[in-house]
Amino acid sequence: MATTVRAEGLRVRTGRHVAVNGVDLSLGAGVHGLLGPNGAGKTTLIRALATVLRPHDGRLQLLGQPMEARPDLRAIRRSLGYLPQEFGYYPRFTVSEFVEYMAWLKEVPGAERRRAVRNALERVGMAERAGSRMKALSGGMLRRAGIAQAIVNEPELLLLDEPTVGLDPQQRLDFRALLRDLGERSCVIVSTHLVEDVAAACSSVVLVDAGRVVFHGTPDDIASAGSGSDAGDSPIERGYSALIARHRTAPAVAR
Amino acid sequence: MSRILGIELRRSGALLAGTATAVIGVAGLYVLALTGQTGLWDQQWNLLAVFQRIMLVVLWPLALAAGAWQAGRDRRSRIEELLGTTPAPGWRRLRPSALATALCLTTGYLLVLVAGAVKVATTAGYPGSGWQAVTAVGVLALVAAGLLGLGLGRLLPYAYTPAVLGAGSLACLLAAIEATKLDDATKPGWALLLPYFTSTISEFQAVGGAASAGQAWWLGGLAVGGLVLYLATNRLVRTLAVAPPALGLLLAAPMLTVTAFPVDAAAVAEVCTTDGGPRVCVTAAHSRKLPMLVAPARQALRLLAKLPNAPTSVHEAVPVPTRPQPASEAWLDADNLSSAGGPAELTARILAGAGTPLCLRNEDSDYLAVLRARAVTAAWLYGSHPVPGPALAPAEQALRDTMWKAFIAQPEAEQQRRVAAVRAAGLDCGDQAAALGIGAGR
Repeated sequence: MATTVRAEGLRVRTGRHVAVNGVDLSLGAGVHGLLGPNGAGKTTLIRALATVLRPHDGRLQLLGQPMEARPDLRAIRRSLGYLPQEFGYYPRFTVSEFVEYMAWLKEVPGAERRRAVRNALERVGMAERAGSRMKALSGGMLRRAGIAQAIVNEPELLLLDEPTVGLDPQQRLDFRALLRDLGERSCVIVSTHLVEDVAAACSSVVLVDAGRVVFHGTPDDIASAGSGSDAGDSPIERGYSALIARHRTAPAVAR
Repeated sequence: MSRILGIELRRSGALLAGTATAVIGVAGLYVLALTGQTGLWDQQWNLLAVFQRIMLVVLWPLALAAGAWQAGRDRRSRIEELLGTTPAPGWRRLRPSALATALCLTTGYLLVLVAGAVKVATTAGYPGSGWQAVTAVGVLALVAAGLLGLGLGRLLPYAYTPAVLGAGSLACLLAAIEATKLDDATKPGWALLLPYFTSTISEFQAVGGAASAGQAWWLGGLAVGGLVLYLATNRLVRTLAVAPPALGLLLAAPMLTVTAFPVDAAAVAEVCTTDGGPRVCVTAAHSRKLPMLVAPARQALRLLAKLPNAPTSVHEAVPVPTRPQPASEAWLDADNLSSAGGPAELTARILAGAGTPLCLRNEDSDYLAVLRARAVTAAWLYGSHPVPGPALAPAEQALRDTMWKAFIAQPEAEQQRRVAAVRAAGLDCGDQAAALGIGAGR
């Protein structure tokens, strides 16, 4: 399996704060859940992978290109799909126009662009709202439009930061199916708080806390890490709680 | 890029800016109909084009603010992070919105021209020369405002930038009207660097080609500078944005010292009757008024025949005559063609000063005395006092009545001699009040 994202001792700053503090990671095709409490550094890590933030230290390789050298950012971004946590959009554009505009910026060739837009909207279930203005969409629909723009260029690396916020249960089920489909060809990294989404859709889970990778394994591995005494309503939630708690106590013991 | 341009044309603020330009511009033209002042622009294509340029005093700040507003769209939409992860370079991404802004402002400006053209086409006879260049420079000025607004809006990415630019530039342009008031309005000099004209022109003037070319260099430089500033992706390119306006200014400077509004030779050329009767002529600029003038003018010639060496033709006098008035001609000031109420009034106006134009300006001290002398002359030739025309203030009418009574108290031959003297004085632009010899202080 080809490696799409490789990080070694990666450190990323947001202002003076080192939000990602020595991450080692290697991810290829598949759906990878990025799980962790608030402030763990998930969004900062995603932004670094999206080429928004430059690494402060360590090594980061995206789509085979080392970021510490002079990477061909244009080539990387051509194969990148990104849904930021705070998804900005042009409110006066229709959904179709917005996705087409993003496809143009992602240098999807003109002849294929309209088909790519239609395809992306169908995949997120927004084909019937293609003519609606972005400002008229509900929160869930906006999120789906955001996912459509992220996948319109068939990216090799798809980064989704909190993509399921605002989706209703049925939409979340559909979204999980879409993730599994996308993960067959691409490296999909999904940052989320929702442990059950990870369990249902991800082939691997990266557990992050305090800027470090606490655990990297399958959802079943996480579930098996927990016990009945750990906090949570499901095996994977109990596993998540156990791993976070273990990580937080370990340094204190070491000190 | 055409589909993306289409999206920008439909959805960006450019459409609103173009619409506002058209609506405000058309309103600016036709609001004058309320006070019967559309003559300021509807008599000639040139006047319409120049009047549009005057309206840029309002439209230019609007376009500047609209450009700055458009430039802030990504910031307001909080989409900058997402856009930053796309492969398209910034300058390529911004090109459609710059083009949409330029296209919408151009369309808005030309729609105002079309709205005015509807009226001009039915009113004006002579097309005027060079109005196309005046319009083209007007379009360039407005596009320059839009692009400069885009550039400044990107350079100063603050919420209040559009408002400050709009209000600030409007205040500066209004202040410039006072600051550039000149004795010789035909040579505005550096005032030509302003994006609008500070004064209108007459139907007998044109905008000089050199002045238009100079303005095109300067405004073109400003437009390119604004575009460079907008599309710039680093500080060096942003700094280089001053080069195009500087170059434009350099190229424009020599052209700004010439006469900007020369006499339009084609507009002052005469158009005359050819029916074999006494000749009646108007300027080409007023060729549509000729049929209306023929009968009153020939009636005036019949009445002027009482005088020795009576004139045999009537001609429209232009504000700055290019030849002396021959004794064989009766001249009528050009403004009477549009302001006279009817044929009888038009005849009376030709008879004022016994067929000579008014040489004085209304700020001259003898102005009123000369007007009264010309009125008495007209009444004597017309055969009744007062002559047809608008009512005067009672005090003024009483004064003229007194003059009239004093004049007709003179012997008949003396009356004729004095009227002939008034005409003779008028032919040389002399003192007609003194020639009549009646009135206060005479």
